[in-house]
Amino acid sequence: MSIGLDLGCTEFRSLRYHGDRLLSRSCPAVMLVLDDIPKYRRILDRDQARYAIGDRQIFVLGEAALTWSRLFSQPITPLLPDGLLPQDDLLSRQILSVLFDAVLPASRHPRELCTVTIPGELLPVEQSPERDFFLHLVRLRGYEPQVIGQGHAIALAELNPQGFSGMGINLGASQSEFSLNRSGRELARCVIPYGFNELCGSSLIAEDPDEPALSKIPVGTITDFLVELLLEAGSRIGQHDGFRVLTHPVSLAVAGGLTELPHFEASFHRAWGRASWPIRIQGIKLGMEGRRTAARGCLIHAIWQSQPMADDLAVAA
Amino acid sequence: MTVTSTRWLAFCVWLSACVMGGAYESALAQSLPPKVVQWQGNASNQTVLQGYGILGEVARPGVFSSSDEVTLQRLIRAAGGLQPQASSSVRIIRAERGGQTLFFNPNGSDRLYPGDFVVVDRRLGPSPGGDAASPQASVIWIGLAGVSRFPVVVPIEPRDAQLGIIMEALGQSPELARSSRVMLPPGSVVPTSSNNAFLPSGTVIAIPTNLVVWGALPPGGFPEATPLADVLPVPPAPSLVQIPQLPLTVPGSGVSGAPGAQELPASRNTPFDQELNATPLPFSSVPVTETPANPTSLPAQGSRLETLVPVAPSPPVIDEPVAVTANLTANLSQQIESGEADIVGEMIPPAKPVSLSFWQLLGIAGTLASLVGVALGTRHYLDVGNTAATSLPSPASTSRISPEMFAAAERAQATSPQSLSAKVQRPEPIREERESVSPSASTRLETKESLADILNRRTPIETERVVLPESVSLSVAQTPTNLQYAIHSKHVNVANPPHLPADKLPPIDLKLEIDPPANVPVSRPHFAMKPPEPPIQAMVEIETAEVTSPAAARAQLDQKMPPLDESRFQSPIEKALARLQRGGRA
Repeated sequence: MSIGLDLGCTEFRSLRYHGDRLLSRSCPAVMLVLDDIPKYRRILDRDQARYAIGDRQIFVLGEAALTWSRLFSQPITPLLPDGLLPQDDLLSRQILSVLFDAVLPASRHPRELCTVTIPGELLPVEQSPERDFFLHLVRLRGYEPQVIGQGHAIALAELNPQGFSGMGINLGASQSEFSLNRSGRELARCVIPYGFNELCGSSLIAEDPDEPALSKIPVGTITDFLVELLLEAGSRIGQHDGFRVLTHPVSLAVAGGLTELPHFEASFHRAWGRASWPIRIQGIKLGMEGRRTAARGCLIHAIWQSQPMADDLAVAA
Repeated sequence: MTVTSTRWLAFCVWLSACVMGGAYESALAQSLPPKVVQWQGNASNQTVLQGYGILGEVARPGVFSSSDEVTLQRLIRAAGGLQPQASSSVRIIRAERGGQTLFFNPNGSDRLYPGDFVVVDRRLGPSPGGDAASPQASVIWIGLAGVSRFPVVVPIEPRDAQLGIIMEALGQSPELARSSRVMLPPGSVVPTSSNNAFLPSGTVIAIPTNLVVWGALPPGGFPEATPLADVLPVPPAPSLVQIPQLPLTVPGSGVSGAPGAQELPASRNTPFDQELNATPLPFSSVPVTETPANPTSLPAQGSRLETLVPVAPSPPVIDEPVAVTANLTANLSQQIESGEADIVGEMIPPAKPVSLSFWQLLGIAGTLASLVGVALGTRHYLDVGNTAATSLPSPASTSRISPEMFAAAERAQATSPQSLSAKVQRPEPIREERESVSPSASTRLETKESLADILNRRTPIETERVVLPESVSLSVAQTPTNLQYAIHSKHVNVANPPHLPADKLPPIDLKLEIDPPANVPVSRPHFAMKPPEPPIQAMVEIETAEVTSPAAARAQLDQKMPPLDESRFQSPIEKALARLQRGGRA
């Protein structure tokens, strides 16, 4: 069983094939820290919320952290601030491993493939604290990890008719990634440490899922944000040797949490018209699964790696 | 066996014999030595020399030329061997591409192609010889491809090791640098898109040949390559006569010439005493290093390749072509000694004779043909046997039937419809029923189908509930956790969103505490069996003048707080909390 694992800065998502179904798991990478007093324990026990105890504090995990943050008006603590792994906080690392195990089920066969994206990775490096930490967790679950970028995953998930050739864009919470691919292989990558969290402001109180903070932001602000992002990405792409080899128009696939807004497509087209890019685009395609698109691309990559490529291209055709 | 199969077998034997005989004749014709040894006269020197560049952690980087086949090991020996801090793997840059990385085996024989660059990188980590600087530490060695017929390896001062300066020294425009391919040593972080970046030693620059302005190149050209035979004598081959070393008469040969080389004293200005490390003409003078060029190719002290591995000569082949060649080469050597021929001719080495004789080949062919005939005959026998069971006479009576009648009966059966269908029926092989499929195979079948479903979106995505463990106990860290500090630091370091002006930034909510700290003593534990407890203090501060009894406190609470409207609460948790705030269990 291959599995795709998308580790974002604010949420962990997994997608696997089970029989004839695709099962998805997601868990926010946040926690709510409360003082260890009987009142809180009583409330949490009554609600059967999952929490951890340590250092004379209560750590509410997962979705319960968001719920109780709204009820208690307590700020939530991101476990990966700006995508960086806390080095000195052992409790956060242990909580991360608990959430990780909840999202990633144990493998059924030895050395199954797990394609994973590393959060907060601006450049693909051989070693980094985040990469070492999460790959170790993947191996502990019995998988053989393979790392790809979120942009690459989106290209695999959405650019099937184009032969997995084109550019994949992931609009994440903390960073945005642009990846150029050809026949399923990543040629170049550009990561900008801007995400849609910049639009939501700095409020630490968890938002109401029925009324997300993004929906309250004016359309013009989102368009301005996209324009600025595309301009920054365009300037970096123009200097990148890997992008300069393009001589023909390429297809564009966009996904991420920001694409779940109902008016995102119009905003993106407006922003695209205002931003001048050094490469020509053939068409823009939005990810149909929203923030789970990257996980779907990771699953495709994992299944792809376990088969001969010729057979899979014939299957996909 | 039947007549047909026998005839077929005989035909196969005859055919194979003809084919093998013809092949042998042609091979024999090619193995004959040439009647005439072709050599060039005094008119021109047209030896086909090929150049090979080597740079990096070797004793004597430079360019070497040879008309023979050159191996990596031979080239490194000619360059004086590896330095103590050299890596165990070398890079071979071929045809202006990255080439390949090989693990250097001194006893191996890795063939090089003309125009190759061999780059020996520095070993990562502390060098085995300590921090002693190598003789080439004060210079940067750069390889250039595409500006000359041979590879070019030049030493440059570190301050001049910039792409723009190199292009300027070559008389080319800076724009050519953008079209050039720069191959850096591994681990180098140099922005190659900038012409001002300093290039490390071991960099190879591949310049597009079609973009080079040949007329703008330095008038002196590039230094000639060092003949490999001068530095490292070729081991004698058994079928070749040793040709004596001729004194080099080409001016400047053996020297990667420097402007300073002409100023060397006459006692040092000999081919075997001149230094190989020199500066080419277009670049500024670089202090000549003290590494002498030893013609006997003794490796430099401290280099890894300190002992030359002798090449085992192949055993002499005692055969007629060798004798003919020996006579011819003896005549040629006499001519050379007598001065009739100035240039060593290019001799075509005799081909190796065929090891198998004609009769051996014929035997092999006959065996193969007989096997084919037996297979065909068996097959025909099986076909005939199926039809003979029904219509052919019994074996006991076949002796009374003449061969002509038997053949006629066969032909009749062959053309009848029943015989045709009978011919088709052959004994089917036993099929192995595979009950259990290996897990990998079943997985591959399952995954093969699933990839198409995923790509075509035939399978919807179902959300699965995440189950966290019921109780998690975290180990206490040695240092106190500073989670609040982490929250503060995030707000201190966050950059202003560029698209929002400063006055429109949302206010930062730093509400961290809503309750008094935990060290406030709790009056009663919540789980003990005791008389009714006083109502829980509400979160909202209640202004009370006097509270004499729990009933009075509750009365005041009811007065102050509006009646509870449960319709506005959407989740049961909120309702429970509201009731809790008002005191007492619901």
